[in-house]
Amino acid sequence: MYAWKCWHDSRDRVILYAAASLAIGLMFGAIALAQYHIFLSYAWEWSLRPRRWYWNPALLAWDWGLYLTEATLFRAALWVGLILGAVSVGREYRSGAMPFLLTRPASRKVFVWTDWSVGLAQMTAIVAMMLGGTVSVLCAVSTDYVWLSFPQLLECLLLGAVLYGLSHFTTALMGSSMKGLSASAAVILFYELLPGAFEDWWHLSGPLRFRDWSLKLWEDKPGVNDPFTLHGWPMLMWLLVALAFPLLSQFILEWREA
Amino acid sequence: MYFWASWFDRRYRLIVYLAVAVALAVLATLPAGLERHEGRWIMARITSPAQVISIWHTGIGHTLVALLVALLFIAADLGVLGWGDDPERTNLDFLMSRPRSRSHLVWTAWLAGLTQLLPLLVLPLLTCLGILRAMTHALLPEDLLQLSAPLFTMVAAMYTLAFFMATVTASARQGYELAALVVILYWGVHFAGSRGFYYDWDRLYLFGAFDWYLSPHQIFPLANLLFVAGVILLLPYLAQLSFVRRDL
Repeated sequence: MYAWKCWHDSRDRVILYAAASLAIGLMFGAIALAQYHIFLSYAWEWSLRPRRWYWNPALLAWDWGLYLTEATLFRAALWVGLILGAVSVGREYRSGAMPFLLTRPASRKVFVWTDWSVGLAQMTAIVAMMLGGTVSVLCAVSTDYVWLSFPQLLECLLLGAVLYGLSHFTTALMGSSMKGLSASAAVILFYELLPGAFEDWWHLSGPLRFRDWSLKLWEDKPGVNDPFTLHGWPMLMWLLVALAFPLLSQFILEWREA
Repeated sequence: MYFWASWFDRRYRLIVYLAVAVALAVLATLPAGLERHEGRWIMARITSPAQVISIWHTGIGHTLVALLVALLFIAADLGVLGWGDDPERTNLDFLMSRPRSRSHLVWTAWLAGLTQLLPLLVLPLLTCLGILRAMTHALLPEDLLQLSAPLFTMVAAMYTLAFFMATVTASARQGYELAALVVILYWGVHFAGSRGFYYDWDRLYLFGAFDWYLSPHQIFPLANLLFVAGVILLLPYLAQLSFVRRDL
């Protein structure tokens, strides 16, 4: 029942974001498709000359499309994660529904985890829409390289879940979506910029190394059979962090009077 | 009266922001005059006037970069909270019952936030000056004074944009979202039009943020600065038009 309420309260925003995400994804796919035809003309010219390396326009078009998506997908996940996290619990505070909600015959734990799960599913759908838009167009070129989009999706979903959880937690902590959003933005700014500043000002390279290690979830380093390498430890760390945030939100709500 | 109420309502937030800004200024300024020697930081020995200039240049550059990032964030936060946080918006009903015009309230709320930004800029800069003075026994604040006006203009523009968005949408959070969206779009356009993206802490002017204001190619000196100042004054007026007509 509460899952339906969460969906009902946020569906306008989710539909808008999903449509925008799909439109951006389709646009990137169309650009990559146009690039594919340019590559084809190059391939025709190239075929008239003695070949020096293997020229695969379909793979190049996929690389092109995924390169465009990669630059935008994480920013989209960042935006959606922060906003959805802030409007989840914050919505109940803003409308004054929180005191009423807590009188219902359900534990606070159920409210927190239901709210978190619905938001996470919405964020996943929105992020997947962008990648889906690009991939669906690129499938017209070739379906052999769909798996190339896997690490990008995994990275954005994992980091998006962390950002969503952070925003959800800070909103629950502050009791206001605006304050939660602001606090989350401050945490992200510090995490992103302070290690670089410390390295430059005080020659402390540890924080920067840790930040770079933590944000490198995969790299385009082909192995024997794999075209990319996934880094398990930072993924595990972020997974634990992503799960820790709703747990902390639960503790906050259980300890709070209302 | 409302002016002081705005200050009073945000006193804790301002104290925290001030502490963060001063701490950042200290962290950014100190290494300029220190040297790493056998694993320990020691005061640099001044041997020439060029070294003094270099210490001042580095210290001011680091501080301005840190303050630019911190103050832009703080300005957005203060701007959207010009009318209070969303769960506390019922205060607005009481405010409207007072014998004051709505335009007076808009301009007072905007001005209160703008004046709150001043100590957040001035105190860290004074801290930076004090530290550099103590380390070098010289006073070379020209760069700092020259760049303070563009820095405050950018911060005031961010604050006013956030205030405008929050007033028009009648929501602090939605104002924050829209202001962030405008900044992202502006950044995207700027990025698309530029040759690349600089991520270099050694660069004095972060991402070329001050270049446009200091450009020699202006209609007249400080024209770009005055243009942004004009926009800063226009936005509260537009916010006033929106607020006066709203049915609260």
